[in-house]
Amino acid sequence: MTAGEPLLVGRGVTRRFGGLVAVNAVDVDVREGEIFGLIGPNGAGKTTLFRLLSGVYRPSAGSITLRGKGIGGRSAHAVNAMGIATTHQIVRPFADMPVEKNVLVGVLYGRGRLRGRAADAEVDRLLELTELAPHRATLGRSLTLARRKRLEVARALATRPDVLLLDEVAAGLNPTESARMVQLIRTVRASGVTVVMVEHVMKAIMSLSDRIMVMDLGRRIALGTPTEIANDPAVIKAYLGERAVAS
Amino acid sequence: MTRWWSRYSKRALVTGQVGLVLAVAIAIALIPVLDERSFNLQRITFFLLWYAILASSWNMIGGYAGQISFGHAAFLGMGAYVTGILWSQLRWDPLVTLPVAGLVAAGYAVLVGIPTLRLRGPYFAIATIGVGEATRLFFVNFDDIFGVTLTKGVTGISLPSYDPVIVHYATVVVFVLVMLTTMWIRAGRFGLGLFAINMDRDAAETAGVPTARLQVLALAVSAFFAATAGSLYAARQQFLDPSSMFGFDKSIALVLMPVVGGLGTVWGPVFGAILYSAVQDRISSIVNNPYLPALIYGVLLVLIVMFEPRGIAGLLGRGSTYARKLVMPKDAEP
Amino acid sequence: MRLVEALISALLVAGLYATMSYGLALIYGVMKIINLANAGVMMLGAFTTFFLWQGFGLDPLVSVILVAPLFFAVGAIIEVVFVRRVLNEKPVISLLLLFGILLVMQAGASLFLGGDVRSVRPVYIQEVIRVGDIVIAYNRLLVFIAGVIILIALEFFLRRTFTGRAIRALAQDRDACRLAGIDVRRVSMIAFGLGTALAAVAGSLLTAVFPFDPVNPYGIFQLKSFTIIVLGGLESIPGVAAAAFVLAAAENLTVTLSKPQLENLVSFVLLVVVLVVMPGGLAALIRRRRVA
Repeated sequence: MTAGEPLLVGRGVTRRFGGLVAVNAVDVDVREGEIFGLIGPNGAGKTTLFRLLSGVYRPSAGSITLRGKGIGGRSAHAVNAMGIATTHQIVRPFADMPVEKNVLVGVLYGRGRLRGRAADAEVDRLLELTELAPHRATLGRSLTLARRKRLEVARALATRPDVLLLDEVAAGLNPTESARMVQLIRTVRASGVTVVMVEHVMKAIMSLSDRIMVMDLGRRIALGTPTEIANDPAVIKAYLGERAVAS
Repeated sequence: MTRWWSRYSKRALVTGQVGLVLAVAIAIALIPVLDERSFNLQRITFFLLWYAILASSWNMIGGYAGQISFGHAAFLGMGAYVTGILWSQLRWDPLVTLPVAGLVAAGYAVLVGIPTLRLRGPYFAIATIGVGEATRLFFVNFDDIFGVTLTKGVTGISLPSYDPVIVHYATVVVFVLVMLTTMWIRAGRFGLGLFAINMDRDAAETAGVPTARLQVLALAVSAFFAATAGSLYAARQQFLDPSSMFGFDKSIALVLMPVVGGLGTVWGPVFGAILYSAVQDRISSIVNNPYLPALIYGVLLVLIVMFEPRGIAGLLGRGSTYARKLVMPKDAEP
Repeated sequence: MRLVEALISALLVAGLYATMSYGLALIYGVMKIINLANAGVMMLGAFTTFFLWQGFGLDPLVSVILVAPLFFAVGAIIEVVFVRRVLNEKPVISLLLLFGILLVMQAGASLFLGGDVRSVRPVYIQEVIRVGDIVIAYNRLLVFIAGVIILIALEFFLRRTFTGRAIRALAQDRDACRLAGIDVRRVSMIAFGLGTALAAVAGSLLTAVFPFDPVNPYGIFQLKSFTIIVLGGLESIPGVAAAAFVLAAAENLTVTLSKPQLENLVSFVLLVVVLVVMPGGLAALIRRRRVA
């Protein structure tokens, strides 16, 4: 995999909630065109870091930049307009809108500035891409979980992002659905979108990611290719506990 | 040329709805032409359209964006007083003051909306209770505060008379404008954004929708039309006082009509206005107790919310397929 | 001296304000809905106290003992019959529902009980206590003490009992509570009942100080309560109490130094100022419950 230029860069990113330091002075470099995985045990600070990258939270300290432009302190829609799109961990389709309108929201308010027929065509393209075309008239609330997850991806892609942040898009899916999602993410990357993903489903993230960052207790404990990560003692310790390494 | 609407907005139905609005407008506009002495019918239809304008304007922020305003009478009253003062003091023609009143109220709405609409949760709804009360108090104490004689406090002001037939036509025109605006919003990008905010504000935000800006804009448009209704009232009634314009009953009516008629639909507020003006007209001629209608409205509100949140429009939609398509296109329901 | 008197008077009213606001905060904390019927319940609590006083000569402060359980039941019933059914809908729906219930309460009371202004006049209503040059109204002092006792009892309940702890936990994370095996429906019902009882008790206390009628002042009390919980935060009784005092003091100073008519403007102005000046703090307050 060709390593591109650093695209999304965090320096000393810190986020505190009251006395709790959820993310502690983390450096992160996401390169253009890669699939960047983020893993860690529960409470490691993955989701918090994710929300910092997507502009939902402001960092308590440190900076996050996209192509050198700071995203800290901007509202979520402004971060979206810079080119970072997010899916939600707990899927949040617009419940009373049909699938196609869910996607249309992203198309009309996204960076493509598409209107009228061009917007319709973009909706069609995204529905085909995410295999949702047969369900275009179904209301958001009536979709199965797997389709909701794909709708999240479609709606995020609709805004024409440079970076797509995927928050546990494979969680809760059966192996078939999960495999379809993996395929979809590969297609998305092939179209030139950089992907950052948080995932609990190890198989998905290990097979997809070019590089993986491991977090524990708010800190970065490892960064490397999936193979390097799998053999890193610090990672094994974090996941399995002290004794597992010692023995 | 690119269309501003998407194919999902169902152009044929939009055209049908515009036709329906124009038909209603022309029929009502013809009343004074056909019978110059039809004063009673003119009064009834004036208030019918008047309530419809108010209900539709409320619906733009309350129904589309899902931000409930309990103090919309503030914008109504502000419009009435702007027209009343400009007309009685400076002799501006009331029709000229109409857009002025609308813009003043829209500006006020932006001032109120910026701090309250960017926050999540029910801040806006509660703040509007304050907006309503604060605006009423402002107009009651206006003369004291500024050391002038303009609003005459609770006594109210008498206005020079103005040709009611001209007001009748102006009301028809404003009604058409408010209906076209509400349809235009609902069919297009603006409305889609508002519905997205209504359903899930965080998700809308991450899909690129500038939620705060959109809501403030919707509130401003809504306040504009509510204020023009106030202007029309001032032009027609020759008398203004704080209790008739800013009264709690007005704020209740403004919430009630669109909710009972059908929240977030184009025609629901009109149905609500028809029902409300009919009930007001009938009940006040039978019993002289304002609390009986209020009790009925309260019960009606609870029942509607519990059993048919889409109101009369929803009930009609269950009956006829065509009616459903016309009054309540199935897609993008709030 | 007038200033000191105004501040003491504010402190005394703050007990009442805190009682009426905490019901709102409790319900919002647990269920994330604003109980717009709060003011209607206050009014019904005031009426109940009025009738108990008129019929049996029961002192308004004593009547609290009867009013609280009665309205706990009323609140629990409202929760089960109405509120529970719309909890999963958009927030608009619960607001409108409770607004409808408020209308029914106000219009019903006006229709069946009459719209006149009532007042409860216990024997001590005219009595005052003098400390040096400062005059303190006896009834306000009693209401303040009653308010403080109620809030302390509530704090004890929330911290020391299982149900109380469940209510606090639910306010922090509803989903986690469901996973932890807490009966969310039952706790919600109790919280709504408790919030309703607090509002009614505030109504009882109110009668010992102010005259009341079925409709008028309650929109304002609603706004005052909300200003208080926005200012004080949703999580602590001390915060609510402090905010209640700030509002009462601001009102009293406005009345003393400026125009009495502007008293009701204060809470609105304060609300907007809080929203404009510390939106970060507030947003944090609201977001705290969104932290996964």
